[in-house]
Amino acid sequence: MARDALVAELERIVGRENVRSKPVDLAVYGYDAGLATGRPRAVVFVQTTEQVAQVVKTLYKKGVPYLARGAGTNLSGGTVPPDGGVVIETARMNRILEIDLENQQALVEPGVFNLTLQNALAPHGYYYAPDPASQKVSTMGGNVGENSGGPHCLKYGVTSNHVLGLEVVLPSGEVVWLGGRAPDTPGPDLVGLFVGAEGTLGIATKILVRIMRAPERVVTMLAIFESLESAGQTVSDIIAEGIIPATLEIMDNLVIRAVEESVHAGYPTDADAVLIIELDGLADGMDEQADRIMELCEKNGVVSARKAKDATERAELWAGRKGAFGAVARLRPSYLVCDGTVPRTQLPAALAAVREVGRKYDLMIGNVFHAGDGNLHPLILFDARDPDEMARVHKAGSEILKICAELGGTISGEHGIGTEKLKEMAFVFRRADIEFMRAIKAALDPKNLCNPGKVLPEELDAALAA
Amino acid sequence: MGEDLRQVYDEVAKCNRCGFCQAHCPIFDITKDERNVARGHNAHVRSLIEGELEISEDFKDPLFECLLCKACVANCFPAVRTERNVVAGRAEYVRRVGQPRTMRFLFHRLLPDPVRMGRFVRLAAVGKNTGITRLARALGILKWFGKDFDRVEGLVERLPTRFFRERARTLRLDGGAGRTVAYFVGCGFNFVLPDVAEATVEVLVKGGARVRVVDNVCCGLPAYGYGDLEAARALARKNMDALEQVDAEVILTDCGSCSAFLKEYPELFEESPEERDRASRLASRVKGFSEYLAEDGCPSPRGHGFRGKVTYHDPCHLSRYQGVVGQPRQVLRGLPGVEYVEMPEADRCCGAAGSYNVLHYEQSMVVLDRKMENLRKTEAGVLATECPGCLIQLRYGVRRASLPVRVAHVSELVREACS
Repeated sequence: MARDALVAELERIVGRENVRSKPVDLAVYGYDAGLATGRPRAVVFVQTTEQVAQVVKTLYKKGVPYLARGAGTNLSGGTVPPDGGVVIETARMNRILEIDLENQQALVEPGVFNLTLQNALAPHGYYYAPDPASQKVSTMGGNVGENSGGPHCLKYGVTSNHVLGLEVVLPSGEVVWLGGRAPDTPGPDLVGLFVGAEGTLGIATKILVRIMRAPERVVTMLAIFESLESAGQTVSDIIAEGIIPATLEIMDNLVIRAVEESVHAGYPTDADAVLIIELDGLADGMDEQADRIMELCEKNGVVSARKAKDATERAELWAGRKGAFGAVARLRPSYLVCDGTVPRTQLPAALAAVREVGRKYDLMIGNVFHAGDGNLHPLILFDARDPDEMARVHKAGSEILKICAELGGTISGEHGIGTEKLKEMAFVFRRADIEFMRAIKAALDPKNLCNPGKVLPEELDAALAA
Repeated sequence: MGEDLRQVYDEVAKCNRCGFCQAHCPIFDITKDERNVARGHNAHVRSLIEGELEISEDFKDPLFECLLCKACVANCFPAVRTERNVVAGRAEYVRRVGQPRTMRFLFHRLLPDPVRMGRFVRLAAVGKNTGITRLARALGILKWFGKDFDRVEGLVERLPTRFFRERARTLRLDGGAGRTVAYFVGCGFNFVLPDVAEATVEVLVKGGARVRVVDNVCCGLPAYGYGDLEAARALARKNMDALEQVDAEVILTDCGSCSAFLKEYPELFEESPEERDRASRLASRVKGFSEYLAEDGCPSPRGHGFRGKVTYHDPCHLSRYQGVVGQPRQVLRGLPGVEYVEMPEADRCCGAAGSYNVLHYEQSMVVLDRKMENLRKTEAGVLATECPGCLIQLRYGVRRASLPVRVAHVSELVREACS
């Protein structure tokens, strides 16, 4: 077989040992944590901004599509390469370049795991607020691309609220800085444009984030309810009281049972809902807030409630939640996470509708969600090897997102659109909205090579008609 | 495990590709390469089962670069048995692509025949201890180590002149009225570290046991690990015959790898119910050294042994394969004068992984360096463990890092404390 000329050129840029093109090697770069798969033409391990820029320039010249990939934990197909495309793997760009405590900033490369940054900050008494459940393996580059949230985003906001600046390799191969160290950069919010673009507008090669002083005190509580509705009501009551906990997380019975089997977090397997409440902030007044929350739990008929005594117990309470997605795989081999969001007050209606969808398509659906900000995560369980079941899964997933949109919510809280929710874009955007997004994409990436086929539906009319 | 790769299809399909294994794999930690992590291994095996890819030499590196340390399995929510899937992939490789002649010679000619094996090791020892490696090589002695012989040489400090089985003839084996214990002699302790085996037997006898040294061959784990199931089964059958000759309540081995694999014999004979039942009957009586001592109690220590800080390294085959974690620590804490300190990441693989340290030297050394860094933090004077592979690797690591630490088997420390 003739040597692939493109591969040879990529090898010249990054060195032979950093390019993969054998079928056996490509087979493990055609998927992420979602359901879609693709087959790349080559995988390039990059280590510097300069290498990324040169690789992108080469691909631009040759008209070859590509995407940036960190740890491949995307849940919506966003890191699945286009067939014949090139995967630019940033996992080895994983240095923390700078921690500046005085100015509360950290500069990192995109391949750094979210948790690695947290662990580096902890000894200084600082932390980085966005904490996706996948934080031990999801990369900062991916967090920027997806505008990741996490349990603590109720109080502190999502990734876009914490990114101050970005070094980006544009689809042309140009390297630019967006935003910066000064608190107020003149001009439009280009960082905001880039965060959440799912890697379709360029590749972040350096990320400047805001870091925060670790709270003086953290109180974690776990409350068990007989029904999802009463857990949901408690959430509404807490917020109506004017208390904004750092997080409010709910898991339903199916998820509780799965979690219990795999991590033994000490949840009762007959409970219908587990609510995790975490307060953080100044120590003063926190006990009073916790007491008030306990009262509200009791008012809503809580079965039992407990408060973590120390950091170990807190970690135990969290272990179940952080492992929830993986744990459901004990019940069936595969799962689809629908990442819909509804206004908080619509949570009970949304949950009831999700249950109905499960019945209609004869599918197991578990619920684990950020109740505080109305971010549902129905997990549809199935075996991907059964094509009939697969078809029902896709229908059910789409229907759930439609329900969220109709209740005044949206189709993605934090996992992105990727390839899996393209047609659902029409649930929440009008033609003009999508055309505007397309114009931006076309202006930056005229050849449509940078992670093409993601976020924006190619068949706009079909999507709008659906 | 059988001869058909499809037998692991359900296990492979349990991987939902969440990718959390990336946080736990010592090899992925170095390479950041998806083909080294559990998700990638499962995807590869799946692609072979589904016919998307054909097995070929290209699979060699992805399949054989795994340590089989099970760190991924321990941290996997659906607990996908990736180590088993990898071995199934290796078995397919051996069946369809083949195995190096040297491996075949080792698994089918040397390991089943202790006399022949001993002769080879003896010649190697002559070469090693007198420095006439060139001669040993010229005689074709250590062919099976191939070009990596120099590394093996570096890893093992000194080979003994008398194997444990020879020494055992003059050892006191009858401790009195206690239980009858069948001592399964691991190759590592017989051929390379006989002092350990001697210490183990002495401790058992002091505790009142009547020790029967089993006439066993290699447990079969090296062959199994490299995907030669046929050789592994042949070795297992020989051992089952030998073990059934000994009428003992307990089958004890001080080698963490042997005890793990003896307990897994039933899985090896999944397709043959009769042999599986035989294997199960034996497996239920197998105990590791500390596992036995923690239940049966230590002989009374006199406090002559090491005094000071002692730490412990968990062999993968004891901790994650058998769940033996608390017992060695309990035994060490019980020794007079010992201040037990826990080592950070004590259960992280040391990089030995059978002969991984020989075949993948550079990666193995990166894994080892991290272990030495963790060891340094403990300020311990003794690092204890219970596996010959780990002992050799850790001793090499201590020499490389110039740490003033003695690396010893738990049984050696117990013997000293009781003498």
